[in-house]
Amino acid sequence: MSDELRWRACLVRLPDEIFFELIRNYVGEVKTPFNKHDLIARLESFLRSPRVHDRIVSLIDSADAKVLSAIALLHEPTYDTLFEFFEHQIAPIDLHHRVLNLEERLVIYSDPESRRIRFTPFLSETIAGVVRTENIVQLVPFNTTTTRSPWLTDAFLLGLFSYLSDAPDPFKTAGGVKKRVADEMRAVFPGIETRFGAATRLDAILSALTRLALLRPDAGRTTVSIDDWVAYGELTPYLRRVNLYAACLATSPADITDIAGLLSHLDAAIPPDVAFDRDTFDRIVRLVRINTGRRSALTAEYFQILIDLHVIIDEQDRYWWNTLAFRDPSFAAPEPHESPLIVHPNLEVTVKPWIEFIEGLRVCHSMRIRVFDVYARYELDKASLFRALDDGVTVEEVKARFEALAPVPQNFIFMLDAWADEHGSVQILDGIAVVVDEDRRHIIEHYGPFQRHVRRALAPGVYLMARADEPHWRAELAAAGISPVPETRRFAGDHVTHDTARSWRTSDVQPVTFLKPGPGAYTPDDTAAVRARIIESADLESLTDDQRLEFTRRVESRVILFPEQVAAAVARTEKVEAKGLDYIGKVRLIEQVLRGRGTALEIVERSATGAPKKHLIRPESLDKKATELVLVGTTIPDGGAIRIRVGKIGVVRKVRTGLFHE
Amino acid sequence: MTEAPDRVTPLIVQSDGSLLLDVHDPGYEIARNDISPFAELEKSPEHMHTYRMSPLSLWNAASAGFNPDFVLETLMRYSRFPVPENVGFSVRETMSRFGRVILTEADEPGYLILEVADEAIRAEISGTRSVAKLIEPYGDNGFLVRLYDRGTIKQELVKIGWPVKDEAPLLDGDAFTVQLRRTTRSGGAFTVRDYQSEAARAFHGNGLPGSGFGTVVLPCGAGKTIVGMAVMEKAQTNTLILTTNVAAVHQWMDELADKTEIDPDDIGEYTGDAKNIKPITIATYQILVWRADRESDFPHFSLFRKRKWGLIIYDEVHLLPAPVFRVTAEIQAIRRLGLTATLVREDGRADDVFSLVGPKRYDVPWKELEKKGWIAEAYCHEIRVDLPADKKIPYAVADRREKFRIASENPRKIEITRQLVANHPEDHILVIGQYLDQLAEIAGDLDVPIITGKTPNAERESIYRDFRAGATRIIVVSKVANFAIDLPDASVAIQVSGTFGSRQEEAQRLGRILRPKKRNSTFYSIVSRYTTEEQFAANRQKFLTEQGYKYHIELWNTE
Repeated sequence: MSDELRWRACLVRLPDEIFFELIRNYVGEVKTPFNKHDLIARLESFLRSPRVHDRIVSLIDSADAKVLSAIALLHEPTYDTLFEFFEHQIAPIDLHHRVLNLEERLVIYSDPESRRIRFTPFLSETIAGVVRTENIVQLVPFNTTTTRSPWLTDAFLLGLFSYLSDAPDPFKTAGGVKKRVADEMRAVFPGIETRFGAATRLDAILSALTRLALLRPDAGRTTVSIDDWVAYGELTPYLRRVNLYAACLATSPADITDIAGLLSHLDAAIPPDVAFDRDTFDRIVRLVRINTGRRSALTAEYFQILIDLHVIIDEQDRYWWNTLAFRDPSFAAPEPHESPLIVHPNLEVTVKPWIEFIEGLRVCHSMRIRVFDVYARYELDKASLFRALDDGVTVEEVKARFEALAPVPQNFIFMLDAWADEHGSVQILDGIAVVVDEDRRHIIEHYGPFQRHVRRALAPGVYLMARADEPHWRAELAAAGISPVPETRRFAGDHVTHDTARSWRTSDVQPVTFLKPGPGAYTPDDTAAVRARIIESADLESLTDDQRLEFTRRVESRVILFPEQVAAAVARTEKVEAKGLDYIGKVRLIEQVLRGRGTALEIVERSATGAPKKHLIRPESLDKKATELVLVGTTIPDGGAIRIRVGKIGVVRKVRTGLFHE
Repeated sequence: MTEAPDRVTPLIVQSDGSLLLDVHDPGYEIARNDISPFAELEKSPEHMHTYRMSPLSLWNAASAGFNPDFVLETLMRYSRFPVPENVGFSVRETMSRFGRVILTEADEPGYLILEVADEAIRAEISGTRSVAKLIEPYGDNGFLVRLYDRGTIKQELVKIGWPVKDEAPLLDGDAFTVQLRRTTRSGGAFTVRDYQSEAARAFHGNGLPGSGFGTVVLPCGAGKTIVGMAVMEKAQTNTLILTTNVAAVHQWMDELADKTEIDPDDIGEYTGDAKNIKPITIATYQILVWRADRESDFPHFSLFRKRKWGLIIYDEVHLLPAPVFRVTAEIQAIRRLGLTATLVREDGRADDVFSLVGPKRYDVPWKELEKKGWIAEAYCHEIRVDLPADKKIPYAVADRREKFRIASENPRKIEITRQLVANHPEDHILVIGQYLDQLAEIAGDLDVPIITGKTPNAERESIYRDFRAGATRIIVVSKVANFAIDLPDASVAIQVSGTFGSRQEEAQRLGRILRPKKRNSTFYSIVSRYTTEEQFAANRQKFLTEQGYKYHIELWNTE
């Protein structure tokens, strides 16, 4: 259905009382017999006039422009959506009056079924001149020379992977990070104790990795699986970054995908060369959330977290969006083929920041991180190699991985072979048996402190051990020179299975680019002067005082555009307000609204402190309690239950819930 | 600052203040020169050298007149990536601390004045017990410090983060003419090499307060003695030289006699054998720290006061015994030069060397001098050999210390040594080890002389002399030969055992074969396979691998 047809249909369905009042106001007396379609055609003709367009625009003030801009940026929002957007910005009751007024002024209308708010079709082009992004989002052109690279990078993740693979239980049973782990991580990852939201980077990252299922706490044992990390590595660099940030912002794993989408949209929407304030950013987030349907709960300190992630930069009391946070070219290879690794003869390995993530995972899998920095320092040691071999990687694969990326000194390869040869020479099998190869059997065969714990020698080099003594005989194995003492190998049946659901977004979103900065916020005419001129030019001689008052009220509310609309004021006026001591008047108005449709009550309650408190109420009943009447209803728009003694009400005002719907 | 060609970015600035310098980058040399005033060389492996901006190096830069802007501009100029934000903050904060506490001359003899204008710093200093006991209030913004606490107060204040700008002048000492010869007494041409002159200049500085004390780090075999002599020539004063052993004392005496115009009668030996104090006196650390019993004073510390020394040279300063630290703290008015190749102290007192003797003034990567031919090219091998069957069970049941000994004394090492010696028929060979029985067995097996701690000095000298003269091609030595022994023709070293994981010992042993000569040098370290010795060997090799040396590891098949 075209916009014009839809508008006409909405008008036809208006209750007669409202319909005729509109017609009378804008196109004059309605003569019988009448045809509603003809009347609508007359109104349409009125609205098509350039003179009318000019006047309507000249009466649009900045508060109108703000609401109209929101309607445009939210793409025909429903009433509820509009209220949601302006939550904490405009009091619901004021917003209600504003929307109703714009409907009465025929600037907007709404479809009673979908409750979507639209611009009146004949005016939409004219209104487009008023609608500006800047009316609700104050983006200030901003040039900065500051660059701030993100710290939560792929290279950082590789370091975490290497470290966490070596420290399988970073968490305390009661929650939080173990002190030993926290101390070590502070030494390995400088700056990891920096504040991050309400916590530290350390806590936040470990929580985020857990939400991403890259760390899997399970019955007091946290596991890090190379398969999980490789699967994560298969995302594009952009998606890895977005998912990681989302995991820092999410309150539950289920929300990560949604928040990752939200971040992508924000990244696409916010121009790089503008600054904004905190309120503006909140509005942008609301806009994106509403427009994209991404409504997952964000952690309360999300703004601070975005700053801490370097996604938002805080500079000179202003903020700007750091596009580098998502795609940072600063750490690219200086030469296209420069190796991302340096393998040193002292078994240290320098890992450069441009290493491809999965390649990095595969080499870091067999190394221990020593210090993370711009160039990270790793070290090959026996335990780290054993870890990779335990995960089913062969030493040939490990060598190939290094050799594919950098020249490798002979002693490095020698050590890999020597340690691989040693790997598996001592095994501990669940049951529990210690099995020692012939090469190393002599090391423990005659070592009394270990032999004391042997229950029975099952075969040469195969010892049955007591599970209860495990810590003791493990210590003796270490003392005998078996280092590292291997983990106990469990049989397939005992294998811990994980919920493999991974909570990350695996595809790019199609960004909605809806923030188009224009020439700045709309600067309205002096609407008061326009209204004064209308009143001055009108011939009010024939009107009674009440009619003159009504005319002035209508001019003030901008439903009178021209002086010749003076006849509109002749219409019957009804009492819509009761206040002060007019108890009966207040009761009557409440009763009227209870009986009628399409109206609500604006109540000004006298609070205990004396400060007036406004409510917009949809009344449900007027109950008698002892000698007092109590108004029972629900508040608009949130639907909360409310009970107020009529005696406590200062003002009762009958208002429409909407022109086009109840 | 040197002018850099276009945009060269050899530097990676790390957030911990370390600087990685890409040696393959065209801007390597220029960047190295420009960062050297404020960063110390830490490691120089093959591809990437590591420098560090420590508080001490930044304070030294501040003392030499460099400001934080210079440091940060230099970093940004050469940095391949954005300089981490915290580095800028940390450089400014650290350097701003220099010059807030100043040590100046006092009118009162035997005292110095510590000037501290800032009230908060004064309060911090007064409130620090280890400092408070060394000072007494003086005037509105200062303290009096006893002259002999000059070193200690500086050391203690550095510990609490307030470096002292020492503006009190150094003593000149009694004048003594030192002039280097162009032709040695033995008839050879003699010139001081560029890097040796540069090291001497770096030590001497501008001659104003703040210069005239420090440490020069040069690889073994690079001629640190010559640097010492070049410094003596600049100082023209009575000089006390402290070194590790009698053989080294004699080497110094020979070198001074050979390469300077100093009359040999003006050179005195102060050791267990002789106690001659002359304008140039050379003593051992051992004699200085000798005392009758643990409760007695050190009688030979009086040597420091027996002449008006204008310069003290600490040879192999990394070996400075703890009591000498104390006396060094008391003689801060005298110029002090530390010489070393390996400022690695397993006791962690390397920082004390810097604060008492003086900061590192000059350092050069080993491989750079090797490239220029100033030290020999050396190949390092680690040879792994199984324990014989009859040693496996004793090894298995031994405690940790005993395990290491069994592994070190693996009898198969003798057989390998014999084979290696046979493989080098033209070379001068040192067999170096830790355990005397093992060394005696090897010496017997090879039928060559042996030097240990028990060998009388005269006999040692004689064996060294024969070795230098070519009369003896192979000698077996214990750790007495780890340091300061100059054996120019030695080209092969076979290390059969060592002091656990000592990095410094490994480097010094390699150093014995680094004098440049016509043939390359080869260093072998024999290690028992599947024993704790493997891990100790890996640790021993760290210093050298950080200097760019590569170890080729091979298994020795004794079957």
